[in-house]
Amino acid sequence: MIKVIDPRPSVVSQRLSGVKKIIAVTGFKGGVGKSGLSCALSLAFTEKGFKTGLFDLDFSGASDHLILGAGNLFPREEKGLLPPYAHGIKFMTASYFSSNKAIALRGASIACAIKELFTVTIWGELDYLILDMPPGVSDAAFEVMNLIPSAVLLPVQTPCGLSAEVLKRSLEVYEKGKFKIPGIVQNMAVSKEKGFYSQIFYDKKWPKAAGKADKLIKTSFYADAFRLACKLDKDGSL
Amino acid sequence: MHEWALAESVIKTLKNQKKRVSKAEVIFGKLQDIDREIFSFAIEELLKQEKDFRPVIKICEEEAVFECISCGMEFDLKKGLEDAGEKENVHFLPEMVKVFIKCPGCGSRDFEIKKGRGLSIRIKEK
Ligand SMILES: Nc1ncnc2c1ncn2[C@@H]1O[C@H](COP(=O)(O)OP(=O)(O)OP(=O)(O)O)[C@@H](O)[C@H]1O
Ligand SMILES: [Mg+2]
Ligand SMILES: [Zn+2]
Repeated sequence: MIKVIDPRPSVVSQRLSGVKKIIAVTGFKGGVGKSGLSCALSLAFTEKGFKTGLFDLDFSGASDHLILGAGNLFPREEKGLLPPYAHGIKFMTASYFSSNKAIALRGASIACAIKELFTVTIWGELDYLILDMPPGVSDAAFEVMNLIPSAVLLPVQTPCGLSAEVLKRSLEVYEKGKFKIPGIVQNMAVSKEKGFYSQIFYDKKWPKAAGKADKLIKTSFYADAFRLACKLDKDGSL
Repeated sequence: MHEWALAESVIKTLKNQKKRVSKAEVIFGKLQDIDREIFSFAIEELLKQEKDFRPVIKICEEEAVFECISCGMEFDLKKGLEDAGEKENVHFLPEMVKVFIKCPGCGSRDFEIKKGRGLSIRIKEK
């Protein structure tokens, strides 16, 4: 009998062995602020002096390079792919490989491509690796859950009732996967509310600062994200 | 040179098999266009670090075959991917072929890579 094996998953844990903590920013609906928060957290951890990586796993909606204003970067090829630095963050994204064209792929293809990049990306030593997840519990999300069972899940939701309802159901799936979930982050908050791990308030300056890192770090969105980074860093349960 | 990272995954996978592997075939899907020389060199170097693990590894190539999900047409790589940048992108991330080429029958980008995508291992088991 002939056995056919995909060799790639065997090295993924080795590739991440120098990474102390992996935080997957999820949200179960589109547009709740996952990408913005992933970028802001990465900038905040870097500002705090941590070695930080950011991996944009939302292949079809890749936007972290636009938020950070990280055009014209490309990984260096050595014994794998070394992610280039964007504002001090080791940054990996599928947009390096798409020549500015739209990435329209089925879920199975995205899952396969995610596996490929986890196989060949050399992250080295990192204190934090932030994963910007695609919306929903999709093929891509399952792939990440399989490959990286040690990831901490940070779900984002907005005050909209529908978003909360969808999130609750999706979290059940993740909890079965035994992921650590410190709590829910409410984004675009308009008033103080209890029950959240952290609140990020609505900030009309945030969207306007996209693409300009020096402006991003002056917004109140960033200040809220910075507080969240401090809380995550102090959280002994993670 | 990221062939190294791929070669590592091959050695690790062979070592992880429950039954000791003495012979294996490594299939190169032509879409990924892995550099055979660099890959073989990496395998040699990696095996030097092993004490008594010395499997015979044979490399075979597999042509890339696509099948359009919209119209059912089967096609290959003969036309398409002329651009060096696009070729390199597909070398790193084979799925990107769907960003750069279309089905020659109906123009759809919704096609399946049926064969010859990237790296796989074949082992004979008794
Ligand atoms: N706290 C906030 N205040 C104001 N605008 C915000 C806030 N958070 C996010 N936005 C805006 O909402 C939009 C969506 O944000 P973002 O792209 O980060 O969401 P996402 O969850 O990653 O979306 P997708 O599901 O499409 O990946 C952006 O234009 C962003 O600037
Ligand atoms: Mg996003
Ligand atoms: Zn077609």
